[in-house]
Amino acid sequence: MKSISYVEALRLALEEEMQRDPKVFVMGEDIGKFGGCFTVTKGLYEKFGKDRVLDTPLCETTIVGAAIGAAFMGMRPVCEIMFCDEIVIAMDQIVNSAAKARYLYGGKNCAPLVIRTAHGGTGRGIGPHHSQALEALFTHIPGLVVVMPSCPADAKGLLKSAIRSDDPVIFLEPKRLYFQKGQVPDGEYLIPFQKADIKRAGNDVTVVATGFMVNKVLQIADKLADKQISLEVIDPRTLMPLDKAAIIKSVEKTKRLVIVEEACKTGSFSAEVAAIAAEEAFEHLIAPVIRITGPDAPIPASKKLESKFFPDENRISKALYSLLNYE
Amino acid sequence: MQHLTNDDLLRLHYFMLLTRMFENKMGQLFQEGRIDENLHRSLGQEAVGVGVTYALKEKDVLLPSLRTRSAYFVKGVDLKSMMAAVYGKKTAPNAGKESSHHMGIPELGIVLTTGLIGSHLPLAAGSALAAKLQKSGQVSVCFFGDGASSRGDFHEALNFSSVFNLPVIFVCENNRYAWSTPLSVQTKVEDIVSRAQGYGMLGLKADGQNVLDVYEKTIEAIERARSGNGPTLLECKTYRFAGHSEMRDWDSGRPKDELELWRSRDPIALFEKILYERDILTAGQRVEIEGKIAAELDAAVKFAEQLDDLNETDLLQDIYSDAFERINV
Repeated sequence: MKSISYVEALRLALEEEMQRDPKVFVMGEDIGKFGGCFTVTKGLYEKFGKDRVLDTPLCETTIVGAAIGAAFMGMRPVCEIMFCDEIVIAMDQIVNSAAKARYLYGGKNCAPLVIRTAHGGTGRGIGPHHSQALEALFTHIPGLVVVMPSCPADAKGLLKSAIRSDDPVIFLEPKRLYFQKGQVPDGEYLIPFQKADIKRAGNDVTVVATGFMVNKVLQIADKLADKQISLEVIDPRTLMPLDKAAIIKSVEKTKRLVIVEEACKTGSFSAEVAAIAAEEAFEHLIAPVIRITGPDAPIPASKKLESKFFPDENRISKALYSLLNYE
Repeated sequence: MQHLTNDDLLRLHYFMLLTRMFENKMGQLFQEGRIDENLHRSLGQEAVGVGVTYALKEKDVLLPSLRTRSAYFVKGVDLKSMMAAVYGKKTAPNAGKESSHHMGIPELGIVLTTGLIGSHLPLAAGSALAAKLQKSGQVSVCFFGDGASSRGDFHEALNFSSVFNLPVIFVCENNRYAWSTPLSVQTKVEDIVSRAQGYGMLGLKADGQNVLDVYEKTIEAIERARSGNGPTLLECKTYRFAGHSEMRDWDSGRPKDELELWRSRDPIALFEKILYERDILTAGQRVEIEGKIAAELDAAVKFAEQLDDLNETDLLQDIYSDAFERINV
């Protein structure tokens, strides 16, 4: 094991996969010599050259569209869309071409590409067009795999799986995790899709959290443990297709469910998890399901106001206590 | 120009006539309620798909548009498979899940495109990028109509392809209408090809009713692409004789004299005139070919109609790779 940052873990995954498979190449804006907006691809241009690390014009639609076309011809493209907000520009290619490819080819071909993007807020007031958490737009689309790792070890193992996957993968990288360090196993390993990770085992409440919120919830779980409250923290890691069994099994044990995410509330990923609980674990629940999310609002540029947008310790703790006191 | 033998010329003629007769047959089958597919026929535009695709090598890559059935035939799709696709049958090349207009057939080098006009131009940049990275020597050819040239994807894909010097030919089949919208409402320029200059790429213009002119211009673009000199925008001036689709026609919206003028420039009739003059084809032989195609079409209809339809289990097939359990079912 060694301690490296989330960014370094991603870089290592790219490097290992590019070395392993000559069909893997990366492309995006400012990812070459510049090393990418968040330095994920730093050093790859020098190592692999301009034919494996492609600096593109500003053209999100064609970055993704060209990746699909190249994937159809047997390549394994990994494209970087600088901010999750910009993925919307390429939505037609993702929804109408990549996601449906296997289906419309009748299984004779597929679109094995990865779209990496910086996800969610920074807490630094970078505004309404650089801070959104748009995972629910993708989990709604059959054919897409949606992944959001919450620590360096998961980031590395899941990115390697994404590059080897025969399905198109939307790979969401929470910005506030980029420079956080964590223990990463030595050598090569893969983390399978559709497999949730129980980040902390517990008995009183099941907390399903995603991305940066996993960290937040784990910190709160530490504090609540001192008060003899035991949280079971589940990180689905793959949001689509979802490991429903892990969530249901945990709810059977704790009988209470809280879902924490930073996206807007209506139609969000947490709504899907709540619906699963209602449909498939209703008889186990002894209290209402609680969702802790961002509000149904744009993310303001004002740093002060932005801090009110994302679920914080106060909101999460309050909700947990109200649930524990529910009769 | 590469030399075309008399046999080549007869092949060009055969593919145009085959496409014409196939699509007329489709019209009849649609009227009779025997097929469900919403037809977008290429009547009048056959020379474009045939002339361009005949210039390709077997390994080259085709990205079809709404009106390039002829390109499918030239690229190697047999009549029975095409008919099965129109019928949307399970064993057809489109597996009954995509329209026959833009289905992908990997073994023939045909890339799946899309029902969204112009969204496949970025895919063509990508298939050409793959060829460049793999050093495969393949050239990609991407068909689209004048309507698609107003899309942002057109701009991005052409610019991207030019920046990376990709082996791709963007073939604009300018039939002067995007459904009901005439060219004058789509653009201020008469020639879509004039935009090539803005991307720093070669622009070529062909008479889309003249299969030999289309072929010749394509050869020039292909040689350029294959020798590493980058993409070309090739505009073929043409016209569709039928409506946009069989669902809602718009013939009434087009000036009668315009339609008559273009009908007088029927690509098949124009080419037959040349073949007759050069004694490559006789009127008698033409009747024979026509009879043969008609018989093959009847056989293809018979073949397609007895194939299995898709059933309910097919609805959930081929959404994900085998790596996943089925979800939400």
